[in-house]
Amino acid sequence: MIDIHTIGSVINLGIVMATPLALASVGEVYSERAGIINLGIEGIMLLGAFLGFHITYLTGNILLGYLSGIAVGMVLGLILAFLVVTLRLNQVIAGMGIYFLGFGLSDFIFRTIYGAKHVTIPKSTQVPIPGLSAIPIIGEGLFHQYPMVYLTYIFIPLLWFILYKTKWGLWLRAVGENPKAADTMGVDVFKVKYLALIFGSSLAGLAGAFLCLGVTGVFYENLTFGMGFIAIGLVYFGKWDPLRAWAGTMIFGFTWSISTTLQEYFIKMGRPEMTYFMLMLPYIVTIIALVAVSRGARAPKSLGIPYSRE
Amino acid sequence: MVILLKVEERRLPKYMFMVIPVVTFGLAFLIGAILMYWAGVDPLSGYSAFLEGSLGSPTAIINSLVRMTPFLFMAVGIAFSNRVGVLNIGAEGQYIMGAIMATWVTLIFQNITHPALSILLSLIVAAIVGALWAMFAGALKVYLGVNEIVTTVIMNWLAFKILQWLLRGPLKSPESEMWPMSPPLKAHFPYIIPGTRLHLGFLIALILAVAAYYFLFKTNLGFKFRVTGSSPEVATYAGYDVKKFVLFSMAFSGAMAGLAGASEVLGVFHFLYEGIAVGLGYTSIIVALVGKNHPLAIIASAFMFGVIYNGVVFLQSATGLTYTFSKAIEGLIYLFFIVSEVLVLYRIRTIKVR
Amino acid sequence: MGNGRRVIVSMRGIVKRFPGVVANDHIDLDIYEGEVLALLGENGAGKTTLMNILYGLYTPDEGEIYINGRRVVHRSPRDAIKNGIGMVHQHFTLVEDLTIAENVVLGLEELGLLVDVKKVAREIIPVINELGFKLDPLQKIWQLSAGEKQKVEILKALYRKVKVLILDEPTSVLTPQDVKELFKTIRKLVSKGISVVFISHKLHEVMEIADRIVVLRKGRVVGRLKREEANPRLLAKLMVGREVFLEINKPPANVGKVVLEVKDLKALSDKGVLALKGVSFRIREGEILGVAGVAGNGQKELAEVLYGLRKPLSGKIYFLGKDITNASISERIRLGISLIPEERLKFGIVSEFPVADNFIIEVVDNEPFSVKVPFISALGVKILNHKAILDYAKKLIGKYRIVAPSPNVKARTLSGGNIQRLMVAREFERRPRLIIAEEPTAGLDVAATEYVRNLLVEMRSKGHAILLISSDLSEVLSLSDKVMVMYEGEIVGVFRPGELSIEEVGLLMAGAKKMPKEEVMRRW
Repeated sequence: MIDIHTIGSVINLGIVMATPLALASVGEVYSERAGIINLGIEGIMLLGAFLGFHITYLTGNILLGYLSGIAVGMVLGLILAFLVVTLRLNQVIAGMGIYFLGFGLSDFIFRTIYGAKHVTIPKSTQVPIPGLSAIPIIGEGLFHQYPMVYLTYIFIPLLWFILYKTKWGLWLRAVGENPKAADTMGVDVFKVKYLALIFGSSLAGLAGAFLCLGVTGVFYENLTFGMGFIAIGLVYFGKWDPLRAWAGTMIFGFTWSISTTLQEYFIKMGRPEMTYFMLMLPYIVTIIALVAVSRGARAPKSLGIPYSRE
Repeated sequence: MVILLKVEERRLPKYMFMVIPVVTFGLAFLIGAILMYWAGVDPLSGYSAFLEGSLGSPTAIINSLVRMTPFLFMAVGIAFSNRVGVLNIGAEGQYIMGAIMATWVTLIFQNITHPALSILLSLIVAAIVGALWAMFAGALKVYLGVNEIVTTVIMNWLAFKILQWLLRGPLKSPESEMWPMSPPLKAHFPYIIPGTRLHLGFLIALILAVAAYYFLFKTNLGFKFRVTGSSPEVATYAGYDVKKFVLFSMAFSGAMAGLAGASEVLGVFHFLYEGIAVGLGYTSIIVALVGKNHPLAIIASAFMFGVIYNGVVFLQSATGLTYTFSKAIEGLIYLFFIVSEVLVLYRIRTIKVR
Repeated sequence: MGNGRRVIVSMRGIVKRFPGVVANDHIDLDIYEGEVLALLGENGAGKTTLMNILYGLYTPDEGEIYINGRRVVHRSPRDAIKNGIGMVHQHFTLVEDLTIAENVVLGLEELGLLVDVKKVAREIIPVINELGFKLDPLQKIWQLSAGEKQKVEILKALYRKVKVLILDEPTSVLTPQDVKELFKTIRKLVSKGISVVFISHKLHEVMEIADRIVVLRKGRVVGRLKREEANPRLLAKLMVGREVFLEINKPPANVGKVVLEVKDLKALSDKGVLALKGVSFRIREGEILGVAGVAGNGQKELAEVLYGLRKPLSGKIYFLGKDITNASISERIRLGISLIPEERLKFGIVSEFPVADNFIIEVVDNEPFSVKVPFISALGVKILNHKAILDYAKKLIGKYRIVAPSPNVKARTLSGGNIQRLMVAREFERRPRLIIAEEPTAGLDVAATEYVRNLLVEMRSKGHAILLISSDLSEVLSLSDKVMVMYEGEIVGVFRPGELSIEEVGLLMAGAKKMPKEEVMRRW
């Protein structure tokens, strides 16, 4: 793991922890902007993590691992889209189903294939950007990172741009605010909802894969530990804006990395149980953040409401 | 040529509502058999071990009743709040907090007072704390507009972390160095049928389920609660205090989950350890759904799940599969259930438009 | 027919069924180039359904559509737009949060990937000027008035070079002045060779603007006329199938003491704007006070503040002398205030509950519907008496002639007229001192409309006070003892029916004229 004894390394770890959260959260921003809340993200992340792990183990190729995470996200997103867009089932109920399914299946298949075996997979490593990584503190934090993290530096601002400055983003926002209006103007509401949800799910699958392949290096039960739900919370925190949601994930990430650093300190002090106390912090901070920001937050008008013409 | 999908309602005879659970469980078990086969296990011997262990003898059935108890508590609570229009996803966290409080109170009072009083106190505290844990998220929703789904789930994880910390710290049993667990409880539930594992908790859950049914369907306040859940707009228009109803129902739901946790600790395990938190709170959401949010039907639904959870243990020892198998099946049951409802009640027509 | 102009659109044998009703029953319709075709009919006759089919929002169960002689299938509005059909719906289909420019270009095929809002705005301005509208394309929709929003809707259609523009009940939210402007716009469009389909249930408008009139009743075409051939009595008869008498038998007023007194009431709308700007009036026993005015001038907020659904900013409300300005809804119900809400399915009934349960939602705590039990009733919990509830339901079903297979069917299975009867029964049986009736006959068939109106008059005779809010001016004028006109949150005029001419009332409604404050106060 990373040497966490410098401020730079704390920043580094914070960004690392924030990254899967950011991917899942921004994906969910897109989904919710189109009017769909996806409670299954946690399950999708778990299946993405497992499949990423499994494929990487079989092929030795991390890239294929990431791709399979995306693929699993797309499949689950498609299933959920069918349930909530075509069949118009309650989104909360259907989303929980995807969560249960992803959670159960990922565990079950993992145990069945691997049992108690201890396997190692090639793990992603951090790569420094020449020049930038030499900057004191920030260089170590921001520019000595995993390739996937660099990807998010570019990808997320790109997603912000798409949302506000392109016609796809316009369609997305219209569908989420007033699907009837978009429909009468000839926008294919069902297609937009399907694609938004599948896109969000594939990002969640990728997030799970990165969590396994980049951060932990191994798959175990429940390795996401509620991250999927925190990602949804951060969408609210970010008021459905990709960049704000990203900022929110940083808060969580840094809380995590700070508390992890403090864990070392407690172990040294001979009070190992305080490590668990520290682990509570990110969750508490997320709740506080949500409360602080929620006044006056306005969701896309059609969020949670299935669309039908007749 | 283009194919469009249209969803229309079907008119069906009443008995079709029975068909849904049967079809759902049947399909899920079929897939379960396929999964078992894939895992290299003989489905037949697996399922026969399952049935034998869950229903094959009086002891087996009683053990299923024991397993069903936490589901009964929590699903009734969840159904109650569902009827008022609130989905309580936080049952898991409330359950954990209830278990923690019951342990803590018992440890304090078991040596000071009569065991019965100690038990009563721990139940009360567990219910109150469960209620408060739920009402925190509820109050955030009602007064600040914070989405309750997100807050309750995060609080579930928080509760689990608290459990982990307490078991390694303040509540740690001095005797156990290896596993994090609490000291054993001397004041615990009596057994209803001596010689079996059927404990008081089961009876309490049953009574509360019937009481919940009676309240919801036979009283004026229950009527108002149901109106609020069915149409909050009409409830406001009729002058109902919707905020109060929502908070109360979340409190009840949380209290039931807290009691479930207390019941497991005081009735089944007699100590506290991490293994009490295996997602029963989430499963109870499924139990409530299958029981159609009706307390009496939930008794049957909880029994079914008690059977499943009980039988799976025997399935495991006979086949070597782990409990994650039941988690996968559970997820399938849930999905099949919600889809089959739609498929049976509605018809999807394909229209070919030339 | 059609002066030798060619047929642009031809609909043949259109059938459309919804659960329980045939909305379009083998309809044939032709639309000629450059004409104004009026589709006339009551609410529910099938006019909107038919045009929704043409616009691709619905698929017909049977029948074909031909455009310029060629068979077409519209699977979605996109196809319809491509074939030159545009539609402006009754309820605006605009995305409130976006600008005019973004709304206009939404869904446009030629729209490039990158959307520069300012550039789009500049491209729209020529079209705005051509139509003579005065709009800033960078304004957000929520900032616009109803008339302006409608102009944006027309703009949307014209930007796509439609040949046929369908307007669905376009005047329902307009002032008389807006309506004049709309008709001017329509004539301008027609002069450019665009056909306009004008869906309406308002006879006088149809008579003014249409070249041809097609009358629908219960899903069928019952008349095709040229404007010269038509007159109001004939059209009304075609619309309802029998002679229509718009007069109501109203006994002379027998007015008692003041029931409701409102002093200088101010309130905000949902958007944070001042919706009520200091309203004062009185209603007495046995009196119907009608509120005239185009919908959206504060009537809704007035009803909500009076009932307790909305907190006023300032001012006072006195009910039978008691200050109820801050009283809760349940208290107002107990004191004897009743509301017949406009949105029946949402606020009026619990659709999933049995009819019997719907009768008692406000009175469930009272004997005999629930009975006290020792101990727990101290907490307010009582046992329901199902038999009493059922008996009450049966009594009301009979008395108010509600058509329902049994008291135990779900309320949503009832027709619109019967749902209204259910609500009216529930409210009137409580013998409320004050009834606030919001659009009580909107969307009802003729029989139900007559029934509700007669019932209101009956309650008036029995000494109840009624505040009648309706956008149907003739209804207000024929039922009310006194009428107050609301415009932009103020009472701009008070009169007794007959004192003013329709033009003068129209001017008041449009805010073009205002009665001086002292004059208004004098009339209370």
